[in-house]
Amino acid sequence: MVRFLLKRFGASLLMLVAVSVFTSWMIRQIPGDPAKAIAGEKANREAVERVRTEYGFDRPFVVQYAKFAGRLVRGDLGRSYQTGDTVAREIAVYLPATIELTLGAMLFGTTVGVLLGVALAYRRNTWLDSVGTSASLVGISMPIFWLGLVLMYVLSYKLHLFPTGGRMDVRLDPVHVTNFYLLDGLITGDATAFWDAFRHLILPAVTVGTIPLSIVTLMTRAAVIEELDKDYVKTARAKGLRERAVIYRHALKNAAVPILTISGLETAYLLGGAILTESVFGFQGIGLWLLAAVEARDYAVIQVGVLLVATIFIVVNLLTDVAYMLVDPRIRTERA
Amino acid sequence: MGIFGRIYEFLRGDVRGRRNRNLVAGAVIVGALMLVAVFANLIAPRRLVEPPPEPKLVGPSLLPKPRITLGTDRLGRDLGAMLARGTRTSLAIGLSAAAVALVIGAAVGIVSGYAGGAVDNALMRLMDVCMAFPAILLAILIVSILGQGTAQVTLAVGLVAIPAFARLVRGQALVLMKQEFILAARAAGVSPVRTVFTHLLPNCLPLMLVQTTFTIATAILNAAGLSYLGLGVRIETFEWGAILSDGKDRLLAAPWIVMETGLVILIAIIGFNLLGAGLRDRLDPRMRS
Repeated sequence: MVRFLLKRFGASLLMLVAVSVFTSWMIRQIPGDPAKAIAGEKANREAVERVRTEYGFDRPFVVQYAKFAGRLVRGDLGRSYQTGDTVAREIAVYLPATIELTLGAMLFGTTVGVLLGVALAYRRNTWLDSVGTSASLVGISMPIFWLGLVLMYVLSYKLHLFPTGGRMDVRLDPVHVTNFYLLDGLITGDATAFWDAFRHLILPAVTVGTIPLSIVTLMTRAAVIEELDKDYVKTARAKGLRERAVIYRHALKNAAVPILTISGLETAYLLGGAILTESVFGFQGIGLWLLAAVEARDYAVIQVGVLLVATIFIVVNLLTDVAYMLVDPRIRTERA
Repeated sequence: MGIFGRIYEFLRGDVRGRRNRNLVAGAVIVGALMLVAVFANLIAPRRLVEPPPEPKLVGPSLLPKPRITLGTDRLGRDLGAMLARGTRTSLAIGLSAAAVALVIGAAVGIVSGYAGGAVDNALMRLMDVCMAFPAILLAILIVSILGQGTAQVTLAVGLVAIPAFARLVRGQALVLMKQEFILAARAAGVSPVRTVFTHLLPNCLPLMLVQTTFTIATAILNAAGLSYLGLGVRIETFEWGAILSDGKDRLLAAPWIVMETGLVILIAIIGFNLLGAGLRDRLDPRMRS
């Protein structure tokens, strides 16, 4: 098992290097002169040229990449051309928001999805099953930026149940320790701030989590139905176990691998969905930060930001693989 | 039997002893959208999509008097007519993008599956790298390179759909390569090109058709997402995402713009997804009764 883990870890590292090369190359294809962008519109030609040599934009791609990678390895992520702030500091501000959002969405999608999926499997071929399955199909097809607007219009503007956007009421000014607003509320014991951050998180998280919810529901339903037909389930029932125990302790456990696979694959949807949803709700996370950088041609931010998103994706995939082995002893022995 | 008779028979075909309701429902929705797209200029004549001299914001009405309408946009244009023209643009983007993904994705997948070894490894790792980015993020990067506009958006959402396509076709090609009829063809000295075109490709067609249908759905969705972010099709072009994006600033004054446009997008995506699922069941021999 250790050997498998090491191999998988090495492959992920190689992948990260490839992704960083690809990103750097893509960024350099964006039209426009980065030197001009940094020097500012009013800068004269000399100033622009000075910036060009200073930042090394006149060097070949390989040299530029090597320089970038060298700084990256030493933990220097560069500076935003727009704000002059270090990219690392900006990530520390915006990444927690996106992590809170995607974790919230994931939690919503998987817990509700697994429960729904089990319920539908248990009542398969009834009207409840048809309604649930159809609703999941609608969920999978959802344009989530629209879903966000609909939720915001109905629940925030009309029914005043939720705030209309942002991460926290501007009138509150709590202490931010980690920039994970929920966590900060807990650490500082500020219940008002915690509750407010939580209320701001609900609609965006539901929006991002809707497509994963639908997929997890359908997957769980299919996987549990398959298990329910197997002999060991009959045995469990025959020996007089309660149905709840049969489903949750036996069938669901064996159905866990396909469900996990899907949850891991959902990360791409979650991160993509986060970019759109952050824009709908004005939720200041990595997505909005990146969009602003693309608009301003802030190459330093785009490069690191895109790499960051890809890194999260690769790390989550690695973790999913590890989770498989913890859940399923068959895979543990097979791959070791 | 005429072409319509054949289509009817195809739609009626049973899957596991049951009517293929997905296929029928999907075909009806997609068929209706295609009709709207083809006849968009008749359904929505130019006078309806040009701003009137005195713009009025009118809500939707289901009553025949004064007339049934989906309401107007902020410039007083008829929203129903705009959406009809948008159907043409959005479907055109979806179909062309899927075509891009189909041609390149299938080529990469077939070459990878046929050649195997180092070529396969290199191509698939390249696809892995592309798949490490959320599709919409990659599309954002591509449009910032190519610039805004319908063609650029089409290319962007088409390119990001390639990896999934290539992987799928490669998987199928790998399975086929081990089968006896292909081994026999290769042993008999049939050239690689011929093997690919007479044996490999035809046997991948059903899978490719299904994947193309799903790709149209995601392409329309991603294109609308780009337009929503203001990076996609320019607002003057009627495209679903652009119409929705324009309406979002009037969410409180004219909620119907966002509601109706989003509903149209949702129905279209459901249509293509149903069609894809129905085709998959119909074309997979294991599912037949």
